[in-house]
Amino acid sequence: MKKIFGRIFAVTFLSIFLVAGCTDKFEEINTDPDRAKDAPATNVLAFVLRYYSATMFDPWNDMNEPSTYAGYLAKIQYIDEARYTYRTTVVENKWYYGYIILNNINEIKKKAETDGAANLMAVAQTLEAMVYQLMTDTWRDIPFTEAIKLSEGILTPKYDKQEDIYPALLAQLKAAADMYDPDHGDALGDGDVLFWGDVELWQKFTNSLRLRLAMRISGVNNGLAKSTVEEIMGNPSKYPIMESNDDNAFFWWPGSAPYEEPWYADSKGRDDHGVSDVLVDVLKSLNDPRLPVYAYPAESDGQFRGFQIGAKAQPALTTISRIGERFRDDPAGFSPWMRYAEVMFHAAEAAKKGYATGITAQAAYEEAVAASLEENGLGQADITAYLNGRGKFNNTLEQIYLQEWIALYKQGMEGWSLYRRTGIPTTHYVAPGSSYTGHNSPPFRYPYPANELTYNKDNAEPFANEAVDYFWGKKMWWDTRTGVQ
Amino acid sequence: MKKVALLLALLLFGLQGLFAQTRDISGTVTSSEDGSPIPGVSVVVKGTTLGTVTDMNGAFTLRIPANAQTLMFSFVGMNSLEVPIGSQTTFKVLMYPATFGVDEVVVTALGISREKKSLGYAVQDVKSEELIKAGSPNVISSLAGKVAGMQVNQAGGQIGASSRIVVRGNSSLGDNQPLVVVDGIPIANNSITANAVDYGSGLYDINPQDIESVSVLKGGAAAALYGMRAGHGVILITTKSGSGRAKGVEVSYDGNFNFDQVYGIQKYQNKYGQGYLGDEWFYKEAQADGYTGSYQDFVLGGYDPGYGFAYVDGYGSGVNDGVDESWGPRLDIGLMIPQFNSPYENGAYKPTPWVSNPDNVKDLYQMGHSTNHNISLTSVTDNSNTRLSLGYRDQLGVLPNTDMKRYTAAINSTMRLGKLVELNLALNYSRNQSDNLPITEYNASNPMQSLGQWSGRQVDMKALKANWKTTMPNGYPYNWNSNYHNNPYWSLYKNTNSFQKDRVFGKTSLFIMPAKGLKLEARLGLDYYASKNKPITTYRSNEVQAGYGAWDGGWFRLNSLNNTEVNADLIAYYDKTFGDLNVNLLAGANYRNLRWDSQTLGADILTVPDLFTISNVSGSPVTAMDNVWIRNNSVYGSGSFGFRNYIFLDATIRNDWSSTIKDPFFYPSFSLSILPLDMANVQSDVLSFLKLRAGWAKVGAATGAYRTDPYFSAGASTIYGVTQYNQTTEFPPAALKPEQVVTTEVGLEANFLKNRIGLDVALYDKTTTNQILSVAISRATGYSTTLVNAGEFNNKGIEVQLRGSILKNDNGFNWDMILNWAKDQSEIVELYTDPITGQPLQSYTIGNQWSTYVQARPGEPWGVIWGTGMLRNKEGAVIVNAGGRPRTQANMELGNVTPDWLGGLRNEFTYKNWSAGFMLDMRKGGDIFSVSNMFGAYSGLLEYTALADFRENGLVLGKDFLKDQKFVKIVGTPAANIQDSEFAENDIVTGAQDFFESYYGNRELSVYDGSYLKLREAHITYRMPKSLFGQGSFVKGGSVALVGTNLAILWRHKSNLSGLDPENVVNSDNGGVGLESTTYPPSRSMGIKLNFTF
Repeated sequence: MKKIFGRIFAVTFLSIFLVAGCTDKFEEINTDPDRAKDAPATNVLAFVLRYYSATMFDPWNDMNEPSTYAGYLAKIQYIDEARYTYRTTVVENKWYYGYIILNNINEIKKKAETDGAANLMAVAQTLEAMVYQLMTDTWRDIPFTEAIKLSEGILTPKYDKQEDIYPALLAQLKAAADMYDPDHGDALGDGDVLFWGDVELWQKFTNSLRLRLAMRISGVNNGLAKSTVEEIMGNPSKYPIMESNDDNAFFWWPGSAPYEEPWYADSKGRDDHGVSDVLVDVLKSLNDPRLPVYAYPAESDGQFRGFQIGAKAQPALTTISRIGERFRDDPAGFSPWMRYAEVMFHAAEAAKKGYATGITAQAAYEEAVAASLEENGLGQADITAYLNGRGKFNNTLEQIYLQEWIALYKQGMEGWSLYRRTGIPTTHYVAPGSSYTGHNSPPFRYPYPANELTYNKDNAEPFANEAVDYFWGKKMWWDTRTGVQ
Repeated sequence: MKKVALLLALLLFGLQGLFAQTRDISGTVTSSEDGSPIPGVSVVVKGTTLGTVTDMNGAFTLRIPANAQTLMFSFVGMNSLEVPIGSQTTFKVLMYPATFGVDEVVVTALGISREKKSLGYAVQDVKSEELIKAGSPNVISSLAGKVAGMQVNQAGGQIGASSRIVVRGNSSLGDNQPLVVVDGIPIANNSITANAVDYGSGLYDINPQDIESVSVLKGGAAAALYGMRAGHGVILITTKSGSGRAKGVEVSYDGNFNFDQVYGIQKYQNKYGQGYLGDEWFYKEAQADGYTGSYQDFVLGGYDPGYGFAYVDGYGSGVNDGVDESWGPRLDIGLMIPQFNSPYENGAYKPTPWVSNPDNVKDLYQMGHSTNHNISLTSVTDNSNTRLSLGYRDQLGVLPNTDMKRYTAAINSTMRLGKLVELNLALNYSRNQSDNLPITEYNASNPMQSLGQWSGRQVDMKALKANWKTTMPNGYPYNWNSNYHNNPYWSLYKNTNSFQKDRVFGKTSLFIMPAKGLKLEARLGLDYYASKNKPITTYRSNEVQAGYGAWDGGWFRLNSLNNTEVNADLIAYYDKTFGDLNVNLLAGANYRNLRWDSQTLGADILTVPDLFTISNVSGSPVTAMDNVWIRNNSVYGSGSFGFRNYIFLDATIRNDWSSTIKDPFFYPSFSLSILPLDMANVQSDVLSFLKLRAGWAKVGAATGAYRTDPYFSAGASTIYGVTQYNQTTEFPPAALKPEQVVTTEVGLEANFLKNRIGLDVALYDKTTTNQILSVAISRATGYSTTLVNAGEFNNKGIEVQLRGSILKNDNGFNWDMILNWAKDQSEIVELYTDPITGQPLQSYTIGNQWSTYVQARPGEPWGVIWGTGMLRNKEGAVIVNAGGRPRTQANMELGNVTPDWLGGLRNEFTYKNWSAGFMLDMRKGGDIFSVSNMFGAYSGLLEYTALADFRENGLVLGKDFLKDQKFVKIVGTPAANIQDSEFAENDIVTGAQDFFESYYGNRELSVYDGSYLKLREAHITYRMPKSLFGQGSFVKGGSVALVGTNLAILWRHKSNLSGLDPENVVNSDNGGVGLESTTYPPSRSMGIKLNFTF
């Protein structure tokens, strides 16, 4: 009896063991039917272009902090950020968005490398340098050489100093500039939703960016700045730069949900931003025709009235000028990555500093101012009047800087950097509602993200310790202002 | 030797009995609880297969061999009983509830019923009666406090909110909830949440009235037969069937009607209304600045338009009238201020008295109610037993316009086809549907966001209720604020979240019994559900505002999902006694196939307002689809060996193959139970029963699908017609292993004083390794997380169950008490070490709200709260800044979410036909970070922001507020390291608004100790005697009861300043533990419960 049961048992067990061990289909079962194991580079490019515009030009990472630190905007409700009260998550996210974009650019680079696609590689190198420039201008010293290397096992990337990052970015941009082959190279595909596959525009963007980076460090590494500028300006056919507003690097939004211009999308639900008194007062003092484009008159009395940046109490809302229609009321508006005007201001500054640019400071200045006015919809009459009026060139760097600052509206990061480098506009001030004492300048930098101090503590901490009250302390390498704290 | 002889003799007599002389006996069996007859009791002549069951009147007749010695009576939930036969022919037998007994039968893994004394591991079960006594709406809430070591957390007071169950503490960073098995078939208990709405837990789909018992397999050895799915314990639910009942047909009706009422609303202040910089503190500041106006003039912006409050359009045109905080003017002192509900004449609001509305939050809530009807039919014949049940539950929420309906049907039928074959079918159907469930979490359509976290304390809810359908002169829907919020009635009536879920689960089993002792089972189980929900946001809601006075046409999502899990099992059972040795063997194989898919369709903007259909989209529709497919194959086996009924040894093995993990995995377990008294043949009235047990097991926890390969994800919408692909943000591993949980447990069961006192103690040690961690890493790597197998966590714990019949009098007053108590101590021994740099991971984030994290950290218990807290000096005193407010420090430990211990105390009293009982549920410790506290303080709503003269004269920390902490100020120049400075006791006065606004930056102040003592259940029941219905009535029995659940919070920790319900957490996932945000107050449910048997 026992034996029989034993056998039945054994046979049953064995047979079901065999059935159960059948795992042939497991690999098929464990393949996600809803995601791609590989994706075309052009589609990743589309993501990068859209995501950079959506994150770095949105209310959190442009309006609330960079644009108030730069002196353009004032918060009129929930004034926290303009008073330097920050949200940890916002700071964490900006860092995160930056490195997500870089990781996806890295995927494009890998694919370009495999396919030998030189134009795509040059575009990816350019975008990478652009993002790193924004990141280092925000935090100064950041993971750079060891970033985006998880597949090589680097979980805790070391930090590099801005002194080392800027020259590396300039070298990378030069390499990119040398790589383009607009006539015979690879096509960028449908995913180029910035320049629509026009490689020449990309080429101009790359070289224009080189001018931006070079001039930013002109006060601390004049040699590199000068050689870079002269290399580009001395060889326009090899290194073309933007030549008109048609060459502007503007990301245009489709204008329908979910892709509406971010300032517009924010304005639908919130009314937290007015134009700052700094900007309104500067434009008024210059009798600047851009004022009604940059701002609405106040509802209460039709006057243009900016609000204090980082005020202690909020204003009566109807008395304050809001951001102008062109910048905030157009769902199909743009996120300005780089403007022709900026390029010409760099040329003017370079010429003024004695670099061989092939153009005089005055000519470049006037071209820049005219481009800015034109971009804002103003006609030749206005331009002529302005350039003969209060906008007339007075042959000072201060004027070039002030006009550049005005032109960079809606580029909070660039405006803030310009202010930190030059101290222009001089009428900018520390938020009266700030809870920090002992500072005479708006922030020098962002606080390091809290999660970086958690997950990459050993690398991040020495650098975080160089900051004072999160926002001050060690200045940007290229910040040559003196007496600020 | 004596016993063996006796056994043999009995066997011999048993066999001989067939040929021997017979005689007839009869009798009745009644319950000691209430004296009522017990139908369905099995009556067997010991040592034979002769037997019968009692009929509906508890009566039996039986023809027995003349030489029969003993009758055995057994019934589920009652102590088995042996009665000597002697020469008696009629028997009156009293059976006692098994709760206090030793011969209790419990359901163990794979649904096998075993005598509890033979088990070498802890199993605790809860019987039907205990589940439904107090009329709980679902089985999860009725389990709270009833099982030692099981934590049941019911989130929020809103209708349908899900619950979280954890057995023996949190030990994993993944899901910690146990596997749920109904009638041998695993079913999904995940909660469905979408777009910030909680649609409830999977277990809510079972009608509590259909449950016979719930058995909780707590440790590894108990659950080991479930292998890869056993890591966090198993909850076994057995549904009611006709089995064990008397022949014939019985119909039974159960019904209850309950009222639900909100209590425990946070404590708000009633001294200051809406506005900013509007209190006397700032008035004094203005006066110091040279302002000479009156306070009345000051509050209307007379000093500065940024100070005070005056309503113009609720959008910022007046004095702070867009502000949604309560730092405004003093209430109830005769101030006249234009308000949103003031008369509007000639284009302006007239000033009206500025008065408090203390009950404005409470006024939002209504009396909810629920109706429950349940009819069941049982039919038992010689060859079959069947139970059919129909249930209907209709619940109206405490929030206006929220509801939930549940329809259930269940059938459980067993048929015996000849001698060799038996069939069983157990099938359950349920439909849950709702026209609207409230939004949870921090969201503009959550009324608690605009009432409990941001509000004007003067706001009159009655005005909002009366006028919510109307439009204000500014063109906005009627509300106190047009800037950020919806009128709560608007949110509840217009921005609805409808829901429907259909579910079928059950199994069929075919049993073949080819030979004595051998049984083969082929079982096919199914768990299928289809659910859809549709959240909508209507035109003119704040969320779809498109500029001042303009709105997009509306927003909606339609989410549907389907889940199908098939389990097929082949099992062979073999049971035989060889002399003193009883052997139970089992071998089986399981095939499991899980498919899950979801689709979302939606529009962010609608073209025609309030037409919520996809073709009405403006711009691109939002679409998504997701599919999951998982297959597991497993084989398992177990052997149970019982020697002389006093030593029991169990061993189980299981091997799993899973599609989600490449390698197969093997899980063994062993357990031992010894009854020393029986062994030594000692009988004592003092120590009436003793059992020692020990077990060891290795079990696991698997992972989700598709986690081992890198993928690109496509964005939800194309841009200019181009699909956007981006790299995943989680870095995938090369290979994954399942989590491994090794448990060792020992236990002791002892009964004293003729089994009147029972003690059950369990000690366990659980080590979880190879955790599947989605580890947050430096985002400079390009990824936010990486998936690894790592970590070693340890849980040690003790569980005590003490049961006593304090008073016992069969015809008089009885008092029974059961105490459950458990303590679990966890430690993160190791997290993860980077194999390349050797750098250890310092923390793992389990959950987070507003940058305050619940984390696992090496050397710390599971779940420490981490965030920005207060900087302290070396003596531990908080250092204040020049303004008298705490200096802060980022990244510090703010608390620990794990409770010190959990306890439940049940009391049952019976007196003749009356019975009553209540249950207390207690949690000691377990910290919570509360967003409701953080914003409630920031916005000046909570009571403690306006204590004493805070807003007139300010406050000194340590002296006027937070008195149990020490605060110091720096004397002289601060040292380079602030903690090295010289300190003196803080005497710096800070303004109330300045201080409470610092709650946003200082998260420590919003962390509180979540201890509580709750009156969880109570009932008074009257069992109607048969005489009440008269002889021959078709009604056979009945009962009526007053019942209540979640009745009161009797005690909270003193750090719970605003009076939150500590059970309120963000959601029922792991990530919600210890984090509260924008939750609804709890509600109590009281009502009447009826039962009739026909």
